[in-house]
Amino acid sequence: MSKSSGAVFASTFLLAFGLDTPAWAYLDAGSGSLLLQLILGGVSGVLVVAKLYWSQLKDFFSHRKPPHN
Amino acid sequence: MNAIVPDSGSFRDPRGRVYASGKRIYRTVEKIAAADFDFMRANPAFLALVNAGRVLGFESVDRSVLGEPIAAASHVVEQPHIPFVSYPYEWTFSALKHAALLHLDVQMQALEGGIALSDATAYNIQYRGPDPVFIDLLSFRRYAEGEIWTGHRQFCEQFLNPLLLQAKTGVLYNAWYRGAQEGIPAADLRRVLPWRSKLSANILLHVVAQSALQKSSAGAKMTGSTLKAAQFPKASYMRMLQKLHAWIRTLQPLGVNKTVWQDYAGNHSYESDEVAQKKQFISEFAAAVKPDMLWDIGCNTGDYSAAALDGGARYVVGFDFDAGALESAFARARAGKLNFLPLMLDGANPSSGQGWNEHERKGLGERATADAIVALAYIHHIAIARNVPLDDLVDWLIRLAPQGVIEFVPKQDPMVVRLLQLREDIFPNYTEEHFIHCINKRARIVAQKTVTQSGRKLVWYERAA
Repeated sequence: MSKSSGAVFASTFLLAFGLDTPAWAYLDAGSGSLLLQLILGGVSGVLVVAKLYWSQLKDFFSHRKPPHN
Repeated sequence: MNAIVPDSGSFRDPRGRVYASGKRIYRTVEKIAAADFDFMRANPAFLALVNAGRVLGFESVDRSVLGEPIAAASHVVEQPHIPFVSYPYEWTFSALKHAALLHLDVQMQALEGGIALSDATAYNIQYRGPDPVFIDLLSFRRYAEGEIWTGHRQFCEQFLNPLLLQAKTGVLYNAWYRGAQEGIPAADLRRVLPWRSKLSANILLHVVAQSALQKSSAGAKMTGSTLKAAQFPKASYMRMLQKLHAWIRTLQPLGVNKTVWQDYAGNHSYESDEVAQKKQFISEFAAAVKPDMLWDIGCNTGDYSAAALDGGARYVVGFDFDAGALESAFARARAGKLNFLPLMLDGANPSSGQGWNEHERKGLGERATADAIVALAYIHHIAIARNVPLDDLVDWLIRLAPQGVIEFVPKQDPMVVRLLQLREDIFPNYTEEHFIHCINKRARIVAQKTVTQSGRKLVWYERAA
């Protein structure tokens, strides 16, 4: 998946699952700010962020060959 | 009755708009915002903010006052008129800093009362003299337990990052801010910050981490249930605001004391009793004209702005492009509680209409409602240093206000000698005779006074009807 369509995908998910700014608010909070606040919010937030990045973390720590593109 | 004009800068939020009718300012509250607005009007925290002057006051008015287009609104309120609308890219460092602190104060006080703000744009704040005030009533809505600070990114881009740019690198934010209009993104600031500054925990958090998470979240895989489980506790939210507030209080503009004009008081080319003469002339001018709005062009540290206020000017806006002088002027205005707002503005390159439709933010010309101007120790900077023809410069000045005082600084003055030291003198017209001739084309001369041995002359003009 290209970087830009990945960003659109992620933002759509964020919006669809209610974690982003309330539906009627006009301002884009920014995914960076949102994730930062999750982390600052405590253990449960950190776990959420960890799950979001889970597959990336797994690839980083594993010794398996990276998947073919 | 004056025509009702929608404000060209008020359109982003469908919850309401600002309208102007002459000097009267109205704000509509649309139906979708009515419930929140009713909540605010009964909320002690919100009312305390208004009573303390941190949030601009308002009064309900009869909807019919604005006529047909506004009929759909739920409420209409009138708010006090701001004497001179200014923009964050025109503010000196301390002004942006105090605006940031005000925003955070408003957020924290509101949060304690169960209220959240829907955005954090610097354009929600206006200055009256040296005092900032929060003007957007519709930004306030009910806080939902666990919600994040939706305005954090915008706060960083429009308040924090410009301040950090100047505090950590010494580069003024004004030109960048004026160009970009929406502030400085964390990703860009990260690229220009010196590496040592990134050792600060606060910068690591709000600049480095925020931009890194923004960039990397493109690759993250999201699922609904994990997102729903997360909350941003109110205590964490409050702590984040408090720590930002404490940090911003410590920020200072880097290298500002070293600019050329900071030593003006000690370095100027004439004696202090001549300064007293100038102050007296300006004071008498202000007493005679009693302007509601006076512009001090090339205000430096505000000596003559203060003299004009002493003489009877109601409100003074000062313009200069020297960061150090403006910081001094702003400090003077705050300390003396003066009706004086010093702004960063270059006469040869003033703010122009910008943003949506090139009119969202108004250019200087459109905000030119001065009754009087004062331009002392100024024209040689534009006519000699910037090569603007003297005729055009005098024309521009006189068009700004019906009366004013302009100082002619002759070629033999040490300041002009210095400007011409390494240049060819290509200014045959730059003479007192020609200056007087330019003024006489447009106005009559009420009084004049030579104030220095080098021949500096103050000329009080009154424009022909």
